[in-house]
Amino acid sequence: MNAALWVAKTGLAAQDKALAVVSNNLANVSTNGFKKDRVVFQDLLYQVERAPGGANGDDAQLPSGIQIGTGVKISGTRKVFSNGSMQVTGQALDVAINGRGFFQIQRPDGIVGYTRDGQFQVNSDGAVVTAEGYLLEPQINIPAGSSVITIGKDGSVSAVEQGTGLSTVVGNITLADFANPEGLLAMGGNNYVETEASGPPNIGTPSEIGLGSLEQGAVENSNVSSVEELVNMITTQRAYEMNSKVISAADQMLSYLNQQL
Amino acid sequence: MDKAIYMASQTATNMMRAQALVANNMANAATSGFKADRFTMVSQEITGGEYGARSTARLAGGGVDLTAGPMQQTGRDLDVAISGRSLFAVQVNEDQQAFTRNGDFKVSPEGLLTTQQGQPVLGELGVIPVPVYESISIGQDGSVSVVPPGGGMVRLDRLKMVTPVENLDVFKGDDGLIRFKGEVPEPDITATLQSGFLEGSNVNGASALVELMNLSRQFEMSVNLMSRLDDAESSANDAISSN
Repeated sequence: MNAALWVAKTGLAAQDKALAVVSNNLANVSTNGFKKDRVVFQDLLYQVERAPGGANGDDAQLPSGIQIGTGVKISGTRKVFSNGSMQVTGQALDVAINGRGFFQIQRPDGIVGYTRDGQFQVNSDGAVVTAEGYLLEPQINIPAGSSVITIGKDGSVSAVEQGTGLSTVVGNITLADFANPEGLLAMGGNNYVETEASGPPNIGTPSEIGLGSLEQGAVENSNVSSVEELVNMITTQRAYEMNSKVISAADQMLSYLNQQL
Repeated sequence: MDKAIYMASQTATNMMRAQALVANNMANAATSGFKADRFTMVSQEITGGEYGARSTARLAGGGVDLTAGPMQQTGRDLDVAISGRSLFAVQVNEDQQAFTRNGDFKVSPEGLLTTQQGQPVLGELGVIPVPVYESISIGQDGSVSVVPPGGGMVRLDRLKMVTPVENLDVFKGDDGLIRFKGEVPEPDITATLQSGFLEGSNVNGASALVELMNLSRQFEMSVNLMSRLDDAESSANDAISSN
């Protein structure tokens, strides 16, 4: 059978997956702290039918070999950790990271999760939690009846005690950073967990050792650019069409062969 | 038997194999840094007959098309697009070098600058270890520098870039990475790159489609020829057996 058929099939499969990634990005265009995925295409193995530079007789050398590739695959999708734009909300417990780093949260499965979504709330016990109700790590408790909560650029959380009017530090938010954040595993719900590819977290105080500073009263928007994603969608669709043209050409050739002989 | 039918069938087979090559180019129309493969047909004389009247076509490689692909802006610090026809050097296996145009790099958990597949990217001094950094940048001349925690800029190395003279000087290995047929040239100190960009595939969709159509028609011509030769053979048989 015509090898072109199988090669074009890999192209269709890869472009199809790429479209799913583009549509997931577009679906999350307004998810706070969402980081877009980018598809990484990779060519498949080549069949080296004739090695170039091989001897062809005593004095002759083959000027060029022939290598026929076997198609394409998606070698991975990669999170792009560029910063999203800041949206000022004025909420005391909305915190955006301006620069590198992740908030650490306690996931229900016991693994530490990492997120850029800093829309926090206080649960019934007074602890600071994410929108899903997961505790911020290290845990911070806001004493009952506190009025004004201030979060500094360095992560210090202070609350004004009602009655006395004194501001006391109730905890510190720390950030985690990774050698290769793109290696983090996305768990959905806006959080990530560490993997061998990401390396272990380096935990530190915000605005120090390369970590971003915290901005109270703001959330980080999704870093998806709708213009870019729509262009990606068009190019994906055209690449898909090209591969389907190859399939129909190869099919017509085989059909002609079968009819004529 | 008439030997012409074998020649026609060989041409048809060659057209099919060439089409697989074009199909692979088209399948990689979205692969960063992909370089299209080219092919040629060379004439090969068939010896062994009474007289040298016949020659057939053989599919031969036409090298790697090193034309630059379009630049796509990504804004990522570790995405680099090289200008002209120069190539980045990466390490495969222990001590083997291969070359690529795909400047989609990352810092591995072990702290090395690598490709997305994990092959270490080579600088002029060897592999490039990257310390913990606040920010990383790759300059136009390929210098990799980091700002370590606390500030100050440290230059680590310059990416090793080499420039092949001819498309035919290089070939693709079975992993798709480019290799030199002969000696690897000295690092090119004039090579430049652009950070925050990736180079797209240099496959030209329109010309690949035309190539595909052309191959289809040539295939049909060979098949048609086979069928005509079959008819001729059959009428010859009829003519002989009727006597």
